[in-house]
Amino acid sequence: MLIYLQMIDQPEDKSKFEKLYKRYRDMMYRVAFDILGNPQDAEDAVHQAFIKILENIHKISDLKCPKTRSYIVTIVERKAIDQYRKKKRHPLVPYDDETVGLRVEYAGPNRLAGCMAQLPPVYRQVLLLKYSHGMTLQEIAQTLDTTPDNAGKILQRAKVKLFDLCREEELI
Amino acid sequence: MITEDMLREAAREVDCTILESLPDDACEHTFSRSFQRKMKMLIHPPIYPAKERFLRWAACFAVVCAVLGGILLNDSAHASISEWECVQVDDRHFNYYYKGDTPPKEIKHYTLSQVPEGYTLDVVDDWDNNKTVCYIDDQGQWLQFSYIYGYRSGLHVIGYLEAVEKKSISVDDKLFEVYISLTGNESNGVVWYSQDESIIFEIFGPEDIDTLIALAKSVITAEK
Repeated sequence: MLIYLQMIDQPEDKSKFEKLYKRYRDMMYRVAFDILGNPQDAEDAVHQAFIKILENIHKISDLKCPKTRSYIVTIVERKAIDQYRKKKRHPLVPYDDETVGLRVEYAGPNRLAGCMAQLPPVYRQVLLLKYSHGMTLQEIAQTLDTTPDNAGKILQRAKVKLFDLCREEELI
Repeated sequence: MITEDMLREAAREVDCTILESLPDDACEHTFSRSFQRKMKMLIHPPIYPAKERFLRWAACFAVVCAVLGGILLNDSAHASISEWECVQVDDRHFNYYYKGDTPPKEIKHYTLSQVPEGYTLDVVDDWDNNKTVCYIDDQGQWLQFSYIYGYRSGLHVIGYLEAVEKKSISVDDKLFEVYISLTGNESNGVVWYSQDESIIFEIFGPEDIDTLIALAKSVITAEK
């Protein structure tokens, strides 16, 4: 659970949000469409993602940097997964069992990254938010629409799952 | 042994892989009118002038009078014309739209005057007169108290990971909207408004609803 607030009356925030909207809407749509396969659902997911982005618009300083792009991808993937669950009418499917999401095919030499890429999206997302974006538990919770308590539990489960994969790959 | 540094490096690599696999920005999609209208509402939210607010209020009042057959309205939360409108997006997301247009006469700050045993203060997030205070117990469970001023056209969203039951209950003539986790995996919650409805308050935590309401009733004004 989390609450967020839109405050876009600051001219600089409004301008930034409009630029961000124009710059990323097509990419966001493609990401959502890849997951959902339906134009209407994809647009709904993109709309929900933009509502979410509004919450943190003041934290986005550079519209073009990879970190911003990555953050936006995470949000829209999350919202597309939400939309998928809503459409499939399985709201009580355990959150961490969800497998729908972006397919990440890592082909580099870092075997730990290879294991991380194989994780279910919610686990991969929470690890990226913490370790790539350097977010606090509270910020992760806000991004994933949950409480810090739940975010902490997801993070813990993500690490357990990652370490299980590492054992299977004989990394540890 | 996998260190935090190794996790950071791996996460950065996965992040890069995702970014490199994204579709080209140049892939243009023609968005539907409905989508464009919704986005326009987000970028340029409607501002309700005083006259329109009065007309809306008058219309609501007339309908209420007709329905109740002239029963005198008391000043309970049930009867008030709410400044907030809650729209349920699905069984996990609830949007609260603030429809007021005037700042409150006075900015006040609030705190819980009591916290359940075992919780200690963990995080305080203070922004633009709004505040979130998180307490944590020895099992790592969080209790969150927040309040947000709705002026300047606010949108306020409650989102859960799993379906929740939402219902309204009245306690001592005060209306609370409660969120009950159906699986027990997530926090329960209580949401309510200030008397003039300029502020939305919420408490979420693992405690039962009665405890959360008792906490809600313990909220007092505080120094910033």
